Amino acid sequence: MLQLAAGNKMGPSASIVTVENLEKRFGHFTALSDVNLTVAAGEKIVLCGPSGSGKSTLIRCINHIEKHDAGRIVVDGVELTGRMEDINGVRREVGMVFQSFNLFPHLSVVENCMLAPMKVRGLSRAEAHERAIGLLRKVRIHDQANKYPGQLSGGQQQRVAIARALCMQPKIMLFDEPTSALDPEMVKEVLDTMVELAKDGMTMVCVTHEMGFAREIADRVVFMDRGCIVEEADPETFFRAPRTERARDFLGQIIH
Amino acid sequence: MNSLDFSIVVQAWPYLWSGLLFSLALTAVAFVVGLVLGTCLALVQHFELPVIGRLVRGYVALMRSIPLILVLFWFFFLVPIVLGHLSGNGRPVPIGATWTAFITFGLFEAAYYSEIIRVGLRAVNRGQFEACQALALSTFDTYRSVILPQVLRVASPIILSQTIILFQDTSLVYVLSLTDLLGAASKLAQLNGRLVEMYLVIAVVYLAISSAASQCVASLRKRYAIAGR
Amino acid sequence: MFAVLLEQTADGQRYIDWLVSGLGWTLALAFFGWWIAFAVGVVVGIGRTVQNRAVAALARLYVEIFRNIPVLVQMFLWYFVLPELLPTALGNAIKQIPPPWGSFFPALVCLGLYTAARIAEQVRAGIEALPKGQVEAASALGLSGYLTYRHVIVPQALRLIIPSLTSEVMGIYKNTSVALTIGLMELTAQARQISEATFQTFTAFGAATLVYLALALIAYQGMALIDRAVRIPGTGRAENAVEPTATRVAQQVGSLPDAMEVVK
Repeated sequence: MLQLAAGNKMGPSASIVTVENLEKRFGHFTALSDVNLTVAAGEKIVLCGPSGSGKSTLIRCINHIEKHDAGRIVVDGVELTGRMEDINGVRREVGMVFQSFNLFPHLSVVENCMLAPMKVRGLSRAEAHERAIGLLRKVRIHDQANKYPGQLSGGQQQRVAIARALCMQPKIMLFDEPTSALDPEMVKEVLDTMVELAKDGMTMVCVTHEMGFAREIADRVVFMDRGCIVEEADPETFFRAPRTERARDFLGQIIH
Repeated sequence: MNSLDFSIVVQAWPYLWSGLLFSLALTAVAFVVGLVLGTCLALVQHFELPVIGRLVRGYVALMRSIPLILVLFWFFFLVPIVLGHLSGNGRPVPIGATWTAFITFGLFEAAYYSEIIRVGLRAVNRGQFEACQALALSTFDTYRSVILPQVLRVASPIILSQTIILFQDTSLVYVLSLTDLLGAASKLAQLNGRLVEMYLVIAVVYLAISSAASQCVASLRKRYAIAGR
Repeated sequence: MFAVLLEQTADGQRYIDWLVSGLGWTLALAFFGWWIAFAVGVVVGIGRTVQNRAVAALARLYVEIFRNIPVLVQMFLWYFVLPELLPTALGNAIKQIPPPWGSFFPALVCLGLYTAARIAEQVRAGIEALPKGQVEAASALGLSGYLTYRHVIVPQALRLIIPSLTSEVMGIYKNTSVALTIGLMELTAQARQISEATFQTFTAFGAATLVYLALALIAYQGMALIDRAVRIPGTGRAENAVEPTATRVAQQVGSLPDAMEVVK
């Protein structure tokens, strides 16, 4: 097991995220129990499962937006305990895209992308601007750079959110149901952006129900139910021949 | 720095107590008069009555724009004249500072309460009016039994917060040389020279009363927030 | 009706000069008091929302004390009581400050700190009304607590509470009249003095009332201007993405839709 040999920095094929025996409770409700997951550099993982299965909680724990109660999370060689320096250090390397975009409404599109690189990475305004425009171009929204989030459609906002996360040059991107809050006609533009990102070699963990997307880019599909990882397989196997009853039910529901 | 001697407060307590009672009485009267009159003013505006509606709006805007102390001065000067005109012989009727204070606070607070209730009226769901029409309730019954109870209930935390401010504002009758809690303390302080002790003690009394009342309003607000969910 | 204002006073001025000088003190008190109130209020309001228990408790204590003692009593505490509680030399030095500054400074501190407690509550409500996702997004980008407040939370919260701040602006200029109780000859005091000197009570109070009305109008329009100037494109107030936020603020501040938190 590579992650046990974890020094501080590891080779390119080493794991970027290691989750061991993770537990998370909200009051009496157990959101995650005994979750183990390893994400290698360059790997694309799709997390799926019924609502309330703990998939969002899992990726929120990886970014320490939720505090876990037991188990270990190691991100890029740093274990997430309670120490703020570690947490902020890790967050710099982990990009996150939210279901509800969470763009900063009082900042223009390009300012949204420049804030963290300037304040956290210490880039000059010019450098941050150049990087922001470059990435906005990549998600094909650079012509809207000076508009405000409220003036954009949901799909456009989500693409800005992706660009904002990329501006920190993260080692891994987490996506928390990035298309669930979108009108159907906007889902594709966001998925296309994510596919491109995947083809560029970005390490990605995506919580999504877009099974076409999972088939196209996922190296592994991880199926969760009631706070546990129930099944892990390559997409071909998972969709063709799910091993567990619960996964079959789930697929039956979303594919009709 | 002189040494403080709070034993003086024990002696002074009966006088301070009577002052506090005056403050509370003024608050209570202004609350009742203000709320009743304020509700009427709000309804007049709500029904958009032609001339009187604009007059009321002007009155409310005026009261909300000038300091309470100036309002007190105005009423202290105007009320005797107006009463004189009403009594017919045209000579000002001196009524004294106490009555002036009660009248002023009642009329002044009415403007503030009316604003709270007016906004509350606007927030009532249209469906409530339609339901009353469907039940063939008269306008009077609609407002008395359906609309106003809802408005008062929703607005009650704000009305009560406003009443706490009102209680604190009664201290301004100091400018009319009345003997409310602050007036009593100030008069005693002039007699015995212990103004540090006097003002500190009444500050604590005001703090305790307002703070306790605020806590009650906060818990009320929380209960409503849950009930309304 | 206002002709009397142009008449000569005993000291060789005209009565209108008294009013103008009163207006000057009122404006000075309101203007400088506002900046004290705003600065302290934002800091205390933020303090009420931070994780650190001790800081939050101190901020809460501040608000409780300064909001629950009548402003007139606070005025007396600063003017009469504070110099007595300080070491004798310092207390005497304060008492020696010549008028009108001896009244102006206590009034300034009093109004500033009193209004700050009220602003702090608005700021807190504004911060608590922001969607949780904003803080999460900021954390996910690696912004520290300070940076999150500085660049994400406070700029949005302040925009959200502009309507309630309008009534605080109106509140502070009206409360300047309380300073007459410690001998500052501001606008209301000058009006009363003119009334006593000329027996033209209608004229004296009427003139002051008109001036206060004009001030109210200016304050209101000024804040509306600021509101428009800092409005975020693509978000009408209480529309769009911030809608749930704005309504929640309305409930928490206790300000019904158009800034009902009332002050005198």
